[in-house]
Amino acid sequence: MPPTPCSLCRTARALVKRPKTGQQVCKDCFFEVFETEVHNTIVEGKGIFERGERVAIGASGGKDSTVLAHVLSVLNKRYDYGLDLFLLSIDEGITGYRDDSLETVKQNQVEYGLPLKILSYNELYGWTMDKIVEQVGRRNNCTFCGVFRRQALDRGAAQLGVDHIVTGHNADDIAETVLMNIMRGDIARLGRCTAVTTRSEDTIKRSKPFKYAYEKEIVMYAYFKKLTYFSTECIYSPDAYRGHARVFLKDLEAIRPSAIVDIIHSGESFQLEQSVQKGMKAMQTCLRCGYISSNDLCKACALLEGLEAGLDRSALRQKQDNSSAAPTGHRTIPMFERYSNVGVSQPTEGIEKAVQAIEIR
Amino acid sequence: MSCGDIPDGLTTTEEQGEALMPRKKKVQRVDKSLCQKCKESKSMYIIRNVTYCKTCFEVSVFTRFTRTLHPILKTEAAGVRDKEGKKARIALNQGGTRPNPTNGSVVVGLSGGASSMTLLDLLVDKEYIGKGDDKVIDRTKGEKQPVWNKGYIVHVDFSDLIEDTHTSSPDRSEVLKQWIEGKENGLVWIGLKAHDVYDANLTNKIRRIAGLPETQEDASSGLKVDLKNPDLPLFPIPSSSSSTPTPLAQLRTILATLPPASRPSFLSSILDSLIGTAAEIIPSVSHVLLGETSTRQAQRLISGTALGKGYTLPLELAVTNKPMCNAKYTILKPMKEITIKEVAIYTHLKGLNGVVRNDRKWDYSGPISKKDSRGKDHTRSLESLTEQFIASLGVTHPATVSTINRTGDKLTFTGEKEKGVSCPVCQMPVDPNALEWKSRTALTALPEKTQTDHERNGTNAELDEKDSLATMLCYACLTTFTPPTVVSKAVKQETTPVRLPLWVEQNLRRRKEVDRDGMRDEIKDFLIGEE
Repeated sequence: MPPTPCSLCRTARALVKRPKTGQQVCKDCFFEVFETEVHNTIVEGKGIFERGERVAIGASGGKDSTVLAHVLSVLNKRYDYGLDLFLLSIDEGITGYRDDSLETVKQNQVEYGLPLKILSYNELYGWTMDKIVEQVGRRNNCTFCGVFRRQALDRGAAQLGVDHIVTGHNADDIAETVLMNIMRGDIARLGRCTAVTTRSEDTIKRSKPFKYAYEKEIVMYAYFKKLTYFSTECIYSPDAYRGHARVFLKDLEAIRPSAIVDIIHSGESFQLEQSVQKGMKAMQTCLRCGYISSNDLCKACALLEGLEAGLDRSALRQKQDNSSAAPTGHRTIPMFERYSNVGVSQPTEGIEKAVQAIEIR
Repeated sequence: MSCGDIPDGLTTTEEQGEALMPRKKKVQRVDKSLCQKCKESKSMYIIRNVTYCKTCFEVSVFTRFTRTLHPILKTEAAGVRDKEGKKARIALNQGGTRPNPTNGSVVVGLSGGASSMTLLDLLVDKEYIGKGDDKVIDRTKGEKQPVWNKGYIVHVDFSDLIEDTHTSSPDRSEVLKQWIEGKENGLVWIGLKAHDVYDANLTNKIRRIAGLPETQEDASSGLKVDLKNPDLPLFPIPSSSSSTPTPLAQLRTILATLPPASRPSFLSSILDSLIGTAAEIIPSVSHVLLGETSTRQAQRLISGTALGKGYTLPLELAVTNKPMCNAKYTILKPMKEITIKEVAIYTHLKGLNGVVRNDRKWDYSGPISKKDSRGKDHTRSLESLTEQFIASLGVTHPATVSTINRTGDKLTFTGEKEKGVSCPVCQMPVDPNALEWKSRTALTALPEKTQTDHERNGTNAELDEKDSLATMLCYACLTTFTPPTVVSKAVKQETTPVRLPLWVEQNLRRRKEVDRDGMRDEIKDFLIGEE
């Protein structure tokens, strides 16, 4: 049987089948089409980035953030975005998972020459995920981790003095989120989860350049480019509600590969009724830590108070005691300063920057 | 692990153990053998932890039916303009008194499944549909004023398309027709076949049944589409072409060309089109009633999301929907608050089990190859996968269906329904830039590297290519018709373009005419004299 030619260049021999389109392509064309799609996502409309922007890449050491660091570095040079890139990593304190993946992030720092900053739950909140799961159990632990991580990323970014955070959320993640939000009735999130860039007043912009990139293609890219990443799933995740949506999504993809982007397209088209939009709470700042919040206390402070008092599920309730002072003896989250002095907390410099500093011009 | 809620003053672990309350709210102790509504009769059914006797169950189903149906009819009668009908439902009497007569007829879509049978049973038993004989109602004898003068029952049979030898799906039209005629309510039976969408005599067939004179059929030329080409080019068929395959053969051909995952979506468009055609031809039809339950609606929301229908889902899910193209009728779904389990119990209660059969089996339509059954448990379509998923999720999370429906109710359609362009296949508004979005998010060609087939071969298309269907379809229909990149052998054998169903051809023709009128409007100030 003669070898199939690549569907894109028609010259080289096809070596891979694209999960997204089913086309049979050669390696070089695969890299090019993957990178071009990400570039299109970045420059579409007015573009995600502005020239000279300081951008922090949320790096976990997993495949998405490793490939993101690689692709962004490549595209930044190729298309001259003019961005100042940093790596920002969060240590949730999960033994046997996060400690290993952080080593991968340190390798990424060396490989791409990007400055790295690591922020840990322990230093910020006084709790690790291991301790939280011990107290809370495995059913709602993802809520704690998600809320704490969001704040930790913003705080780390503020300390680095960056204007923009990018995360490796891929098309599968976003499609799962759309389905999950419909099934759980989370209207507020449904309205925002498909936006490529999200921004509230006075928070740092967050973008998802991999919005249309399939998880399988990210793995394929990392595999063929021989990128190193830490490949295990979080040890606490299996019982989460998201698992239902994930299994369903995989089954949908098996029947029709384009189902993932079709779900994202539907999510982008959803519009909420005016009365629902007006009913949503306005943003204010947390009375305790100064972070953005829809109530008097932000969710992180509420959860932390719950943990400190030994109340697990009650902390997940909507209503809170609206006292701005924490009970005595409880740890609290330090005050959030959106624009900190940049010189205060220097990230660990990457080799490239160090070299540039001593380069004789 | 601490569970919290420890009252003040209790410190010892023993007391804490006693103070620990179970998280689940305790159900009040009730006697489950007695109906919780009337508290007299023996309970027969438990639904959402409430026990019902037969009578109270029927009342509960009917109450929810009227709570959905009455406010809409009353709003229309009062002439109050409210797009979504929500305010009307709240402001006006919920259920309560019967709405005034509409002075029109009603078309009821009857699949033969539990929910459409329940719908029809309620309409007839509670005398919503008159016999069309202008009889004067005597209220003193307990007779009720019908809301609609006459009822037409439209049933579309798909059994000829089911090719899987392992499943049987016989034509049940006769069984259902006898049941309808046995009701002796003057209901008119309109039994159609799926392949009637290729039958040029369809209009006259319906006119004959409705007692209208037949009209001269317009023998205009048809249109073929090449489903193997992602651009979906259209080719005209000369009206003088000699051999015309039968409507069934034409439908089977197009089904064979479509991938199995796309077939249920296409069949659904056929069903909607046939019911819509019947409603337009039959005189003075004011409403079309469909028996969509809350479970089916939740499935539709999730599967619609997976199909890319997000733009038009709010219209599809609305309890009242006026189709585009200035239709005279409104589509209503009065069973929206009733679950599939309840309609199953209702049909059992009413002794309809012999007539009811819930097996659409669209998954098994058209030729199937072994490679096609890739889905979980051999599901071949997104719709059936969604059904299974919601059913299984409902076991561990019982509020799933109601939560999904509540989410769907909060979505709104923001496009311009009256002025916007409609998709020739599903006749819903077209999402802006569907084709451009698709090509941007999934590149199938690299600008400098990939040549088109024409450039490579150095030839131009030999056939007289006129238009591209892909530019006119909504996102969901575009996804339905887009050929998969890996094509099965059965499809590879179909080399020629396939004929489009007649309703699609008509819509495409109408679109061209509108375009021409639109062009004329633009330049009318500069025209000197008539053409």
